[in-house]
Amino acid sequence: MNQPIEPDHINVPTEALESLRLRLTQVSHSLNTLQAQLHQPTLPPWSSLHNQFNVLLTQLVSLSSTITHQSDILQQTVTFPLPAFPTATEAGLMATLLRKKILPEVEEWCEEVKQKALGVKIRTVDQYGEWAAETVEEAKQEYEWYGLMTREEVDNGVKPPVYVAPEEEAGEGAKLTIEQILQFTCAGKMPTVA
Amino acid sequence: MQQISLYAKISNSQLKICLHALASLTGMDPITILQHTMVWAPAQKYTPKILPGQGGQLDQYRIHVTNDNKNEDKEKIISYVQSKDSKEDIHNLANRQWHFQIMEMPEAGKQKTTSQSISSWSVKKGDSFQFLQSLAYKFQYEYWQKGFQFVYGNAVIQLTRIHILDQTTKNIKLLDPSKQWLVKVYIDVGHLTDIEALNKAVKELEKVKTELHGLMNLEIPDRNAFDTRIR
Repeated sequence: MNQPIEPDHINVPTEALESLRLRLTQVSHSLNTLQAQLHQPTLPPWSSLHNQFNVLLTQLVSLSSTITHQSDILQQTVTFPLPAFPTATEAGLMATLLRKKILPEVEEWCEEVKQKALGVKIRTVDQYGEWAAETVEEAKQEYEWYGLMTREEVDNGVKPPVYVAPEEEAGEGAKLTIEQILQFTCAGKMPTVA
Repeated sequence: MQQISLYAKISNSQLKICLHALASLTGMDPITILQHTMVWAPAQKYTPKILPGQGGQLDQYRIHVTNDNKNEDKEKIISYVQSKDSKEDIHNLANRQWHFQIMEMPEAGKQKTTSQSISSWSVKKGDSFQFLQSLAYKFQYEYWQKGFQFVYGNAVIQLTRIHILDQTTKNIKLLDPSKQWLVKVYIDVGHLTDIEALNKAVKELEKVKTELHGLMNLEIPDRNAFDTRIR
């Protein structure tokens, strides 16, 4: 009766698990690197953070596609402890290993992200492109681009001239058309403001 | 002469960027313009018996009399309407170097630009008001044009606003309270019959229009708006 049961390894989806393990290790490693970079006393240049973040994103995409690819096998697979497992002493470890429910804090993160995603209307790459173009245009409107200068002028600290509109005291009113202005100048016809 | 022109309007908030763009494009600082224009019209209506085939050929035109106040400090803004109260003012105003213009209606038909015949002459010396009165013309109205000018190739680019006399404050005020600017781009060609020069000028203006696209939309106003004839 006490004969140890030979575990049956044939049905263990080794390949799927191995590929997942590899990718999870990568992601975990990248996250650690990123966290280490962020915790430095002086922040590394944004380009290096950006690169690291890009690596992370690539790995997450790869992980996500691996999970999707293996989802059939993984969903059918049931994990259970072998009789030889020291249940009494390693109860904590077993609970962790067999737990299927998401940890409460992770559940909170998921909820938070879902809530935030409600306001996001961008769903496709094209929509993202449009959004980006609009945002760039908006940002551009906040700056004024002027002043073509030669190298020599820049070196000599010459400041480009700034032209400003003369201040006029005038209230807001309906805009005249070019024709209305011309009719006044050509024939003295006072524009009637609608 | 024949004047080839295109017009646009820009809001006051766009002016700064336009000035900078035009300064970069033309490689020059904007020249400030302050121009006083008086419009004189025939004192008496001329109603000839129109013979067959002569219809529309006997119109009376207003004369536009302009003066550049090159130096606003020396040549202060004097309104013709107000100068009547002061002998000194009217003398000062009458003896400025006035430039006379009679403008024909722009060419009809499908045009790429406004094309208008203008007769013009200048006086060097003397009382221009007496001269106009001797032509049986009388003062009708006046306005001031303030703004900036650029020269780009053969084209002159003017960004101006029309000011009129405010009867209550006795100062000049904007005709268009929305503060917007009128842009006029023009090339003067010697004569209507110089087809080659005209075509070249039209092409040049079209090029300017393309180059300024995005900054302003140069267009051809309704030709009736250019009518300076007496009805």
